[in-house]
Amino acid sequence: MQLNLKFHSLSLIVLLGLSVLSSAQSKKFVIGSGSPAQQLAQFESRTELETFTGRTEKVSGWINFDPAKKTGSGKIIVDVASISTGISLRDDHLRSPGWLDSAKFPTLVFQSTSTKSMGSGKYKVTGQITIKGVTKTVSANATLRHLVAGEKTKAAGFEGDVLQVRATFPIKLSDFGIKISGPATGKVSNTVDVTVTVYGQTGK
Amino acid sequence: MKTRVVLLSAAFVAAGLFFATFPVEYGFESRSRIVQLVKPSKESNLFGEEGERIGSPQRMVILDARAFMSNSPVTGAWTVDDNYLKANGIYPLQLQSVKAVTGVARIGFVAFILVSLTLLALIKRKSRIRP
Repeated sequence: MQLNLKFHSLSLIVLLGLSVLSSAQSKKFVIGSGSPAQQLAQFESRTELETFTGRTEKVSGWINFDPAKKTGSGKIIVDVASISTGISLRDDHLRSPGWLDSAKFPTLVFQSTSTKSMGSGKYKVTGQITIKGVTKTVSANATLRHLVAGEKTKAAGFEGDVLQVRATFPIKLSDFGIKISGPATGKVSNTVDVTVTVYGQTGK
Repeated sequence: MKTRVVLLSAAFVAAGLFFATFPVEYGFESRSRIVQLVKPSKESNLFGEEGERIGSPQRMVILDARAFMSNSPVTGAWTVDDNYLKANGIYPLQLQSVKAVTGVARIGFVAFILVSLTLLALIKRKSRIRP
């Protein structure tokens, strides 16, 4: 009986040790804890008349990444009200209820559900994106680059390890209840390419 | 008679403006370059990049030479400092917008010429019928 109890205790210690070891390999990178300029979320609309980009540096979230296993997960939150296209009137339209309705839906959220390494730092990330209260599944081509903390990362203003993540994916505005009508017809494309470049840091 | 002269003159002016759109468009096209906007940052430099690309390469008219980050195109596009454009309030003109505007203007001028000539024909016909 005593031997059996000892065996169980030992198994528990081994299991706990393995779990600690596993979590130690996966690092948590916090996004948005440093300079705002470190983050960038942008979209590009292309029509016959013009091509324009909207962007914001107000991006936050986190990424759990295991450099050895090349696996990870994460959540990225984009502030909608701060998206700028370079023309204030257009920005006002973008924030209005007919478009992104930033007063009611202040954030755009992406939560990953699976990550597949394609080699050479390239990944296929699938996740759920929520825009204007509507959630859809999207797949993004992403590149992840990891730097271990050192003098260079410190000089660039980071604390701890740094992870650069760049993901691009197309979204259809109509899928999220956004209708292009009136003066915007022909000036805004229904499908826009979203690109997010974020820098996460593990901290001290 | 006076109406006919006005209509004919207007049609000639519209025709002149129609043909003028071609050199205007060519003028913009010859000064445009395929440009990639880049937002320089020390974070990008850390990963060996000169900055974050803003949008995709576009044919634009940028006359301020100081906005260009390189003396030659990089992978087919001239890199332009987005921070410089913003700091100096420069919103580059896209060639596709110029082409779209000149295209619409041409359609407008052709429509105006057709309406003027139709009115001229109607006036002429009316004056013949009148005893």
